[in-house]
Amino acid sequence: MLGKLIKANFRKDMSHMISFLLIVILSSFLMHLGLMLILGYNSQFERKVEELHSPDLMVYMATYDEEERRAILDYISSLPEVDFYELVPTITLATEVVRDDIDPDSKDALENVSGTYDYAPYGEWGTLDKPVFVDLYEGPVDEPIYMSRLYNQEIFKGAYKAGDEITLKINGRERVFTVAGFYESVSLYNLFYIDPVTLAELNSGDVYPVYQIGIRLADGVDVNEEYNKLCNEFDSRQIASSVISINEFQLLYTQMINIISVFLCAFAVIITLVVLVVIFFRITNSIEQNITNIGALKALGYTTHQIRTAHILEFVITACIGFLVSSGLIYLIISPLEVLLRSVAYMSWDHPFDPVSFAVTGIVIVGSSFLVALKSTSSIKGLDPVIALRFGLKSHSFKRNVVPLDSTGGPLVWLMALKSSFASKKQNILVTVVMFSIGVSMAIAVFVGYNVGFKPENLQALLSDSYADVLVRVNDDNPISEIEDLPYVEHAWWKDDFNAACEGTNILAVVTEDWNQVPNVNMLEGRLPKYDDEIAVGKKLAESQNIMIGDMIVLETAGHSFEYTVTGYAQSSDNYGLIVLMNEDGTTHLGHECSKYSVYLIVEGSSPAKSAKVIENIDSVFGDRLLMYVDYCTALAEGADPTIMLARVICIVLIIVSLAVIWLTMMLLIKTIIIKSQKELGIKKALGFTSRQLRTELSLSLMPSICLGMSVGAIIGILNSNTFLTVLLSAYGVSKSNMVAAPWMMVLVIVFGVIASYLMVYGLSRRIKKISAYSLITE
Amino acid sequence: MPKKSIIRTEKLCKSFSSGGVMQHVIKNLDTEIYEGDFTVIMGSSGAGKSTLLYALSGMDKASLGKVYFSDRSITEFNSDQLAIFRRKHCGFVFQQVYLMDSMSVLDNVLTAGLLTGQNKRQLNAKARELLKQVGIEPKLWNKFPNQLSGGEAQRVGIVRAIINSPDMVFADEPTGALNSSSSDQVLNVLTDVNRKGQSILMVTHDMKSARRGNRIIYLKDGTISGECELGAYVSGDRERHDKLRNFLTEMGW
Repeated sequence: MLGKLIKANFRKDMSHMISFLLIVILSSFLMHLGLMLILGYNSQFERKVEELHSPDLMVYMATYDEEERRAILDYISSLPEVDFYELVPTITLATEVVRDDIDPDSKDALENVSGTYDYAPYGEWGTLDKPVFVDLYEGPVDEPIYMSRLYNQEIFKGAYKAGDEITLKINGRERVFTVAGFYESVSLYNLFYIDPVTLAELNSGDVYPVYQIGIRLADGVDVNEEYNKLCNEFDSRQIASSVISINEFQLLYTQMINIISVFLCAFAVIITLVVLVVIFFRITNSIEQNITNIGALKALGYTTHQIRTAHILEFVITACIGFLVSSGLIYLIISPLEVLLRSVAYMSWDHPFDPVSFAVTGIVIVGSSFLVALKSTSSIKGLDPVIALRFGLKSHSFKRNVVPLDSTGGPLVWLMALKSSFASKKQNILVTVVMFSIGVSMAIAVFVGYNVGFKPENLQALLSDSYADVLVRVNDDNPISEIEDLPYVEHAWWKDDFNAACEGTNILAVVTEDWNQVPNVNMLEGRLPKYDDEIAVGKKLAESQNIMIGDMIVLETAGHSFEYTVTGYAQSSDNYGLIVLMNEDGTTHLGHECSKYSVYLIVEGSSPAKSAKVIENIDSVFGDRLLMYVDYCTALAEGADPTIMLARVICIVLIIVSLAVIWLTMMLLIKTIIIKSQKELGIKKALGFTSRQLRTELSLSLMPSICLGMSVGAIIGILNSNTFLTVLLSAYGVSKSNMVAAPWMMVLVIVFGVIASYLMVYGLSRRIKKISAYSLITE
Repeated sequence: MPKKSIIRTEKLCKSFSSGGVMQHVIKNLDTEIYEGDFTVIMGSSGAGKSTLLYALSGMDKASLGKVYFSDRSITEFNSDQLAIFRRKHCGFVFQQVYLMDSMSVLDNVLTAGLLTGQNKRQLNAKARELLKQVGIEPKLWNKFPNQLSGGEAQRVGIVRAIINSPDMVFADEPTGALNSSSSDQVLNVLTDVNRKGQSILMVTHDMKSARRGNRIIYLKDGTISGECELGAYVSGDRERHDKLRNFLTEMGW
């Protein structure tokens, strides 16, 4: 009996249920995929760490002093927290990558990939972080070289495939290697594995004294504490070194995926909200339209429970089908998607079936559909069959004649649209909620698209202590005076940094002559330091150590310590936000002597053409003394960076999915309206309304709700977009995103959303055209 | 003086497809409807009365043949042209009234008037005057259709049909859903309107209603099987009544 009822409901609502099914597929697809990626990649990373026996800390140390190296190893071995350590057998060599498309003499740091590379003997790996080889070349290879997937993506921009030749000039001699494959490793991502015999040959040349030490900590030891301890120790011994913790590696491999996943899940939540509103709207409308049928069913002996269950199951079954179809689609596309994601995750993922994301998505989508359907059918509960058959549900309570035609001015179609708009409360709620959701997501899309995709310098400004168009490194004691007088240079300042300790935490002190002379400093609160005993601290550092503006904090370096007054909070992704800004005269207290060869520039109008000209001028003034440069201005304008590309893709996907949701929701709504208003449309056609007039009236009648929902959504979306971004980028050291969230973005979203919605509604209402007045009246 | 024809048909055919079988409801029908007449179409159930009415009014399209309205063929009009034609030249009174539920009485009437672009002030005055004439009191003007009785609603429907002073009012069983007293009120209104010069074409299967017409067309199996001229309606005219009864008996009614 119940089965027949459900079947009858499905038959009757088929076209509506198809629209509903498509929205469910969309929402559960995004939610499932988002959860799957975030859980999958993070657990894959953790699994990899365990399987490969990855180090908790990786130390990179450069020293010519053999005794010093020994002392460091002794120090590490003496630490009770260290369970195991290993010196990775690598050699570091100056290497020039010989390629037709690369100028080996170029000083452009983004273009010239030559530098010091680390080589290790293939087959002779230690116990820590044994590489896993992937994409191996099947053919015969004379001189094999294996590089990490991460290096191929990050340094060579994915230029090499297995089997490609790569010519390297090492110690003045060109050697042609064949890329025999790629490898994945957590910490040893910077090595080139070559034949041990070749390595032995190379080792006889000019080798840099760089050592890599992998450290596994004892169980229960805090990695961050140990990281700080090691950094401070190396600083106090004044050894050129850097330490990377496993947490930083995790960030490197998973942060981009996490950001994508958060976007997917946030958007899925928005669409799920739409799904729930659609269920409520559809069920309540269906009950209103079929109330006499419901009365008849009750009269025939169907219980309320059976009738409600049939309605609920109709939506729950559809939600289940949608969820299962979306899951199937995910597992269908996950393999090619995983290959695409390798360029941002730098590791492969074997994407096994994930029961957690499957169960969570299923419970959220199907469970919430069930609850809303249950609530929506409550009006059937107390319905008397006789009343249902004779009077139906009181769906309209026209008590007030809104927009009376005799006293209201304006075109008839507009007035009629306004009347219709006031007449349907449920419809207005549906449209407002859907448009609000779409407004929020489109606002975020525009915000991200503008600040990262279109104006990536805004992201750079957010992530750095001070935004610059160009960085030049000049082998000169103080090149600034010559550079700032060059044409098109608007501002020039040198910047230096050094490590110090603050309450045991390793921090980065960023120094310039006077921060108050630097434009665009990323200050969040307070002011920049003016005197030698003042510093501004990174907000992340302030949060971690509870530092307030006006506090006195002690900074320590090898043999020095000094108490500084905190004048304000700055922000930078350098050292994950654990930074301080101080002026040159403040460094004397810590025994640091500033190097002024790194000069940052702002060029007039931040124009790529002018920045190129400035670099050309600097090159002609300093010649060989110009060591390298980075033209951020041009690089950002070209937008080839993966982050910029990703932001653009996210923006486009968000807008496309938003439009799809509007389309599907409106398709369902318009069908319902046409069926519900069939008689009235027939009367109007009989009176002489043209199809165009009726379609315009219908489209305009939805406009108040569309405008309201879209406006509130766009305003809330734009107002909260910086908060959203702060959460997304907090792991990068961002405490407060202050990117452009301008009123024009709200206007753009509202205007675009409203026009797009109007056109869609108008397009979807074409069904009116096909129906004659006669058939509408007689149906 | 010869009567002026408003509607003329040439070999009018109307067919419907039902379950793959064509049903020919109107067959090669030639007729004329005259200005100022109260023409009544009668016939048994399924004879094609309403189908003919809607084909003549441009509400539905003819399958074959032509319909001329004031000597202009409306057969080739597309749906939008037909809509514009209807709003200017036709008024409709339906059996189920079909007032718009979400609109007040006055707005229902004004909607039809505003559609033709009439001056709002004049239209407003005209609507109020007509409503008063058909016995709809001002206290009902801002009520909604579900707050009216059947007879009141139908009288509002008639006002809506005549607000634009159309060339023809098409009435499809206007008393079919009403009780006797309400029917009389509605028929009186239609008669009054006709006396003021309004052409009316009414479909009915009710002899009492048919008596109001001056010309009766009897439809049988999609063709006109007979016509009867009754002359102007006079209340209580026995001779007229008998003439109609005899005609209908002759037609096999």
